[in-house]
Amino acid sequence: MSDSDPLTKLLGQIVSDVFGETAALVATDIASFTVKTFSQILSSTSLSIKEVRAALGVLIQHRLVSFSDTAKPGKVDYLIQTENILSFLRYPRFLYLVKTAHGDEAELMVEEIIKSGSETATNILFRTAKRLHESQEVPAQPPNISDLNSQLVSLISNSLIERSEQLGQNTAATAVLCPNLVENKLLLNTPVDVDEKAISTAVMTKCETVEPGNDQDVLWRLNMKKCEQMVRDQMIVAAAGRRVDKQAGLVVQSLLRIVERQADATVSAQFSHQAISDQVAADHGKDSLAHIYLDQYLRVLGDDRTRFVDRVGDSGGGQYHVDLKHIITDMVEGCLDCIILEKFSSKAVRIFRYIREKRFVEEGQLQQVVMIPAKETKMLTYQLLENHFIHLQELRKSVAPTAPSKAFYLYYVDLPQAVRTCVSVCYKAVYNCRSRAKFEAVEHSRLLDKHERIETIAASLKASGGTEEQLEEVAEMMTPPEKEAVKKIHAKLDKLSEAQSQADETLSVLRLYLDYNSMA
Amino acid sequence: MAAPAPMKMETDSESVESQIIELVTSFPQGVADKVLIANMPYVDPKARAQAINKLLVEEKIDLFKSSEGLLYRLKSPSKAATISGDQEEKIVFRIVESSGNLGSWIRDIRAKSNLGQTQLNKVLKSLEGKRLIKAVKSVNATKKKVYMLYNLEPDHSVTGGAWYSDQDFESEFVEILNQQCYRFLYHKLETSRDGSAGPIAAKNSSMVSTKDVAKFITDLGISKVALKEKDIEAILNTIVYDGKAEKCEGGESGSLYRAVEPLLPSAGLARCPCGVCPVIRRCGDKGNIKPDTCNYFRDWLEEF
Repeated sequence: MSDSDPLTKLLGQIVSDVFGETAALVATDIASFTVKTFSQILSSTSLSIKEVRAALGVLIQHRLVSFSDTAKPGKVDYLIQTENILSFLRYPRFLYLVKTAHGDEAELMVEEIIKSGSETATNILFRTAKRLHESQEVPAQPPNISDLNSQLVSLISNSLIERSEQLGQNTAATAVLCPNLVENKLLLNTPVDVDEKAISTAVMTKCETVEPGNDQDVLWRLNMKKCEQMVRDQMIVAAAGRRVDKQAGLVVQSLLRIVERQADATVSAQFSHQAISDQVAADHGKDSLAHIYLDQYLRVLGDDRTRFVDRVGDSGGGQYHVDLKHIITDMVEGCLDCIILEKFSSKAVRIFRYIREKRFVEEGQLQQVVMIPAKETKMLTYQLLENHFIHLQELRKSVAPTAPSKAFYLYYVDLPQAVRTCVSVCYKAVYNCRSRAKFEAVEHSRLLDKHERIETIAASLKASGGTEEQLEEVAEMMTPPEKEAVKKIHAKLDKLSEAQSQADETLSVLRLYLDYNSMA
Repeated sequence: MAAPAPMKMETDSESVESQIIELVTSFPQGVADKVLIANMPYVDPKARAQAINKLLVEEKIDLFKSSEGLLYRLKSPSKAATISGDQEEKIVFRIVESSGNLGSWIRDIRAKSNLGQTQLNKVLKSLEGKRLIKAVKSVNATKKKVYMLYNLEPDHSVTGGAWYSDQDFESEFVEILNQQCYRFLYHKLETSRDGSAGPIAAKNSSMVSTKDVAKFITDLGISKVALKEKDIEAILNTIVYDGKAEKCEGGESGSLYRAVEPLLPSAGLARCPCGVCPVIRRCGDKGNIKPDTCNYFRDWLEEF
């Protein structure tokens, strides 16, 4: 296990945290080979058939493993879905995004979907309503199911939630080992009718489950792509806001909305000035500064080094498009610069940027331009080289290998390679943070358990109407230094989880860049 | 047949010399031996040879060999003639003089003068003692010494120009200049943001030309050496490479610069101790370097 690469270890860790050891074993096993058959899993994990089957069932339900038998009909291959496992790290951020965009109830609904992988609409509504009902202090009116339903519908129409694949038709009459899942593109975002009354009564009577309705066959799941797109857009808008000013950020937001409506590509299709103008007016109002100075903002955004928008034609008052690949490349370069800044020093950043600009640089020339003492330049350059941020290219002057001929050694930056190194560091960082959090929890488990017990006792006392004295007694069960220690531990764990999500942020930007690079 | 009366031979060496000099001066591209003879038929060949030799020693003329024979050319007066010293010193001096303010390396001098190592060293020492030449250490290769005339200013490529003082790279000086220029640019950027005349006007008002920056720096008076525009441009370029400024094509007066904010305030990875850990590659589940016992983690978690 210790020999596996950082990604496999991280995947294993995430799965074990959420689903337990067995599932983690199976997941790691498949991940180390990417694709495996059932018998291979059995032999390499030496678990029983029942266990493997149960683990696979859970993993498939949550779409962390997918199956297909196209490679060898009759034998089913199980593939690991790395992206989906890593998205576990991002759920907190997504939930926050959904909350800000659509409200608290929508957040609860999305949470329910995440918890169960994929669910029918009836179940989603039922469970959300139940939670809302229970969390209310005084049992009042049950939550309005039709309101919830309309929220669900709006989530669907924004494609945050989409229909899962459905069972396709079997072509042959013979029994098929592997079910055929078909994605229904047309119905991806059309909502189903739910029996609102039935749900409502179920909630009122505090049932555990609700009667399955007409929409039994239709399962809904979270659209990860859309969530990541939302995060990406947020980042780009923030960057534009920093570069120019806030109003420019709003203009870029409208531009990205237009791009969203088009097909997915690294460079968007062209759209006219009129379309931009309408969108900005719709989003921010005709009186906003963004609208008044729209032409100027478009000019400034286009002239900027990052080229947030490009003018590609003059017909119709100006044709524009957005080159997403270029924007992301620029952001990734900025990200790498920040990492080098923190890891080494600002002089190293200067050297790195210079080599990146000029593509191929000789050592002597470097020192002249960056104005850093020669010794320091050399040391920093070699440090960057060791950490794979820059590479060395050799140009021999003569072909004969025997003579000690002078060869030119040039430094250059291979951006995809440097990004891949950073991605691997990110995986390690996230793994280490989680590892450390677990370790801290285990070390102080006695204290934390005590704290939890006291909290539950106090809560139950309150609920059943205990007196002030009783509450005080309970509170005194923990001494002040212990309380302090518990607070400290909580702060540490918070810090670790924050660091984890920040490392994950960087990871998502870097991975986005690698995806775009391989796409185009 | 009567023998022609022997012509009166000019044996007066001085006048011979002056005639030769006149001839050579009137033909700056050189005088062939035959031409010389033709113009002075009455001069005794021996006397002529003597005169030519004397002039060569006094270094007033130069002897070249061309396809048709020998060529004499007038030599520009060189200080070499005036120094007291033997022939070798004069040769070495001339070589050093010819390299101007770049100076010549000892190997070059040896190649040109064909003198031996020890002898050359002696000559150089004596010339240095007479304060006629000096050795200057080159800033590019610290071991290399170049020789040039005593009163010449070494060229910038040798000493490094304004950034070097006595072979030491003045990094603090460069740093201070860097900071001051950046502060100037940033100040411009901030004032431009307060205006409300639209983004293009704001952008234009945040741009500065090299001249403005040069004026600002000289007004500050932090530099002992007068800084040229090229030097200021080198400093501004380093700020551009730092990612804190950008260069725009200006109008007549060259390029314009303006400060910019970086796209990302900071990278998330760098806020985690693992992102800046120097031993991240050796970190693993087993061994000394583990996340559970990591010192960096411990220190980072302790500080609140």
